Formats: sequence, structure tokens, C-alpha cells
Amino acid sequence: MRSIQLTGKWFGLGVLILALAFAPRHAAASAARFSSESADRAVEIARQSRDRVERNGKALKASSHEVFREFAERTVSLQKLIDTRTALEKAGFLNKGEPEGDARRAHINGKVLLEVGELKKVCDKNLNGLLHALESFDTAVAESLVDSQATRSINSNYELTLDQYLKQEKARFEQAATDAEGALKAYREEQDERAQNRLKNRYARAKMRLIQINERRKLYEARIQAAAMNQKVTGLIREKIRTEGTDISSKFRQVMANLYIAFAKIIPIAEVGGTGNPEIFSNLGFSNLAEVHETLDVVDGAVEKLGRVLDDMVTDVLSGLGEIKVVNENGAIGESISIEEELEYLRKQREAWNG
Amino acid sequence: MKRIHTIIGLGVSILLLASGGSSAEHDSLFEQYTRASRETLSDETAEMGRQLRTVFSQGPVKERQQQIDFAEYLSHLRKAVLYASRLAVYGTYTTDLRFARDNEIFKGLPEEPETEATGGPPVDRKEFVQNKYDRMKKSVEEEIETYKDLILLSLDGCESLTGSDLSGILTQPKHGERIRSYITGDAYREYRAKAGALKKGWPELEARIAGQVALWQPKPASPDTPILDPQIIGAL
Repeated sequence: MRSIQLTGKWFGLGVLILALAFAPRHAAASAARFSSESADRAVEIARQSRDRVERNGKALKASSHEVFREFAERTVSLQKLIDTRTALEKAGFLNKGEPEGDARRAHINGKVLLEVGELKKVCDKNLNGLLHALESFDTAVAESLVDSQATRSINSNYELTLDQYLKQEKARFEQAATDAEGALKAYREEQDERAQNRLKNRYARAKMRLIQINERRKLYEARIQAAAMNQKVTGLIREKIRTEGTDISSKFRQVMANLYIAFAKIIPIAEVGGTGNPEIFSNLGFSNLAEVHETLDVVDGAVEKLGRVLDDMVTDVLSGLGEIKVVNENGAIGESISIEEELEYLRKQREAWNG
Repeated sequence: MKRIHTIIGLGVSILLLASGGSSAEHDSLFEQYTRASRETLSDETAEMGRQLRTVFSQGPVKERQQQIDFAEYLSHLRKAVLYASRLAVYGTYTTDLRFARDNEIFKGLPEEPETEATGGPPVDRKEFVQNKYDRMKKSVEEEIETYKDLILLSLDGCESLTGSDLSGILTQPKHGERIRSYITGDAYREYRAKAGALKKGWPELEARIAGQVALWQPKPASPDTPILDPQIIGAL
């Protein structure tokens, strides 16, 4: 029974030691986390916004890829028909006014139109899915834009708070520097060895304080630099989403609307040609097909642009964050003091503080 | 050496065959046309005409155009409402910010001079408050400009579609149902709760959004029924 109690006591003591050992470190970690929380929050919001747009952009790309892959296949067939038509025309097989030529012309024109009809079928089949993907993309862009707007204020407030800390630290530095200078002068003028020793210790304490303040200055300056960089990064994400993201879905819908305008141009021809007057096809112009080709180019451009916008959104600017460095400082006081060197050290420190 | 020549020769033959194949394919379509009789071509053309009529009948094409236009319209309306909800928050920002500055009630403001209490140097509260005010004012003004720009873009998009409703999106009952379902949803409810604040700051934007929503209200059933929804009248 006694051994169990003893074991219990040792166990309790072990837990206490562990708790004491870890508590300050945990507290320090919490403090560090708190001090950089705001800037991290702004960057986190901006990154989440970018990721959301990117995720929905991928879904949109997948949906549009299906449409445009089928489109590409059909345009190959269309091109082949148009090439054959050109060859026949060049060889004089489509001459107007000749019964054989008119028949051939009507037939191949009809075939071309049927191929455009295949393009329309592709659009019809995929339109619902594409519009749905565009709606999700729109929502993601709009919500991300709203979220990322807040990063401007968060960053700005964080910068201001750091700036304030830096000012406080500067005031503390002035106090500590005056103390150090006083101690150093007194040390220089003192003749008594014991008193000199006390003054040396006083200066050493003051200098230690200066070193601590200096380290904190570097930390705050690095954070201000990081905050400025964050402001830049989040600003870029905000602007990218705003300028590029908002009109992508509209452009897609515009492309689809243009395609249906081109299809609608065929309606009157199809109506007349399908009512027993196939010869109407022989008088067809091809401006509408040129429009289809133009539209396809626009489609291709839009898909390409979407990919570029989403893939390269911030990678180029994030690399700049790696440039922030904390300079090493050796401020230990040795056994002997060179007053000139120490005064020089104080002067340099003051210069650093005063920018 | 002889082996290399054989391989090169084989490669050239394959290339010639491959290019000859595609040329033959092209020629075949060309030749089909040169060989086909006028009667056959005419019969096939008539058949193609019938097929074209099915594929390109006006109804479905118009329906698809409506579908695209309505998707564009709804997208703009939703965005205008979302951004307007956010903009409404800043309806009285000048007064609010000035009040916060004059009464020193900004969030994150340093405590009263900590000189004696903590041994640290004094904090210039007035300067901090002024800096905070200046920065917040700048940030808010930039946000407001962004939102105004986006709302105007979306409203212009909506109005261009309903102003000359070429595809007839306003006449489709299913579109009306979709808008009414949106209006009863959370996003629009949130906007309605803030519309008063938006009206104070930017009355013309609030009126334009209300005007768009009014377009989708059901038509009055009898002469006594108010033309507009009382809720919309309130907003106007």
C-alpha cells in the first residue's frame, strides 16, 4: 500500500515537472501566434478566396472541356467539307446555272449545314451543365470577392498596431540608451576599482536591455515588412478576382449566345429548304460559318485565359516573401570594455532607430 | 549499311502510304460528287432539308437563347444583391468613423497611458486614434468604390436584358418562379434587412435593385389589387 502511495507521489511530481517544463513554452507559442494572427488571417482569407475560385474554375473547365472537345471534333469534319467544296468550285463542278453544278452546290451546302447542326446538338446537349457550372463559378467569385475585401482593413490595422509597438519600443530604447550612456561616462570617470566594477555591471545590464529591445525592433520591422508584402499579395488576389474572374462567366455565356445567334441564322434557310425547295441551298452565303469559326476562336481564348488566370494567380508574387531576413547581432560584453567601441555601438543603434 | 537503307526505304513507303491515304479520302468525297447523278444528289438534298428543319426549328433555338439570357440575368441580379448587402454596411460610415474617432472607441486601441502601471513609455492615444481613423477611412472608401463599381456593372447587365427583352425572359413563368424562389431565400432576405441602410447612402442603387425585383412581381389579379408589392413600395 505504501509503495503504491509512493509511486503515486512520484507520478504526480513527474506530471508537475512536465507541466512546468512545457507551460512557458506553450505560453510563448500562444503569444507568438497571437502577435502574428491578424496578418495570417488576412493572407488566409485571401488564399481561401483564391482556392475557392480555383476549385470552381476547375469544375468549369471540366464542364466546358466536354463541350469544346466535341466541338473540336465536329469542326474537323466541317473543315473537310469546306475544303472539298472549295476544290469542287475551283474545278468548275459547282457552276451556277448548270443543272449538275446547282445540284452539287445544293447538296454540299446542305451537308455543311447539317454539320453545323451537329455543332448545335453538342451545344444543346451540354448547355445545362455548362450554365450550371458557370452559376457555381459566379457564386464562388462573388463570395470570394466579398471575403477578400475584408483583407484590406485587416492588413491595415495590423500594420498600424505594429507601427504603434515600434514607437513604444523606440521610447523604451531612448530610456535604456540614456541609462547606458550615463553608466559608461560614470565608469570612465570613476577611479575606485570597486565602484568601477559596479558601474561596469550597471552598463552591462543596460546594454542587455538595449540588445533585447533591438531584437524586438528587428522582429517588428520584419513583421511590418511581411504585413506590407501581405497587403500587396492580398491586394493582387483581390484585383485578380475582381478584374479577371467577374467577366469570365459572362464571356462564356456571351460565346454560347453568339453560337445560338449563328444557329438562328440557319433557321429561315432550314424552314424554306425543308419544305420541298432544296434548291434554296444552292444560293447560300457562308458568312455565318465564318462567324462560327470566329466564335470558336473566342471560346478557345476564353478557356485558355481562365486556365492562366487561375494557375498563375499569385505564385509569382509570393516568392518575394522569402526575402525577409533577421540580422544576427553579437552584443555580448566581454571582460574589458572599449568605451569608444561601446559608444560607437550606441550611436549606431540610435541611428538605426531614427532611420 | 544495306539494312539502314532498307529501314529508310520502308519509312518513306509508310509515309507515302499515309499521306496517300488521307489524299484518297479527300479525293473520294470529291469524286463522289463528280460521279453522283443529279437525281441522287437532289433526293439526298431534299432529305437533308427535312433533317435541317428538325435541327434548326425556331422554338428550341429561341428557348436556348432565353435560357442563356436568363442565366446571365440571374447571375447579375444575385451579384448586385450580394454586393449591395455588403455596401449597405457602410451606409453611415462617415458618421460612424467620426464618432469612433471622437470618442476613442476603436477596436484594438491601446489602454490608457501605461507609464506608471507597466513601466513602459506613454502611448499617444490621440495620434493612434487619428491614424486608425485615417487608415480605416481609406480602406472603407476603397471598398465602397469597388462595390459601387461591381453593383453598377451588374445592374447595367440586368437592365440591358430586361430593357429590351428580345428573347422574352420576362414572359416565361418558370423564370418568374426561379426569381421568386431566390427572393424568398437567405441572400435576398439579408439584403432586405439592410436595404434601408443602402437607401440612406446610395438611394439610386437601392431604387434600381428594387426596380429589377418589381419586374418579377405577379401581375395583379383584379383592378383593386395594388400594382406593386407593398414590400417593394416600401423599398422605393
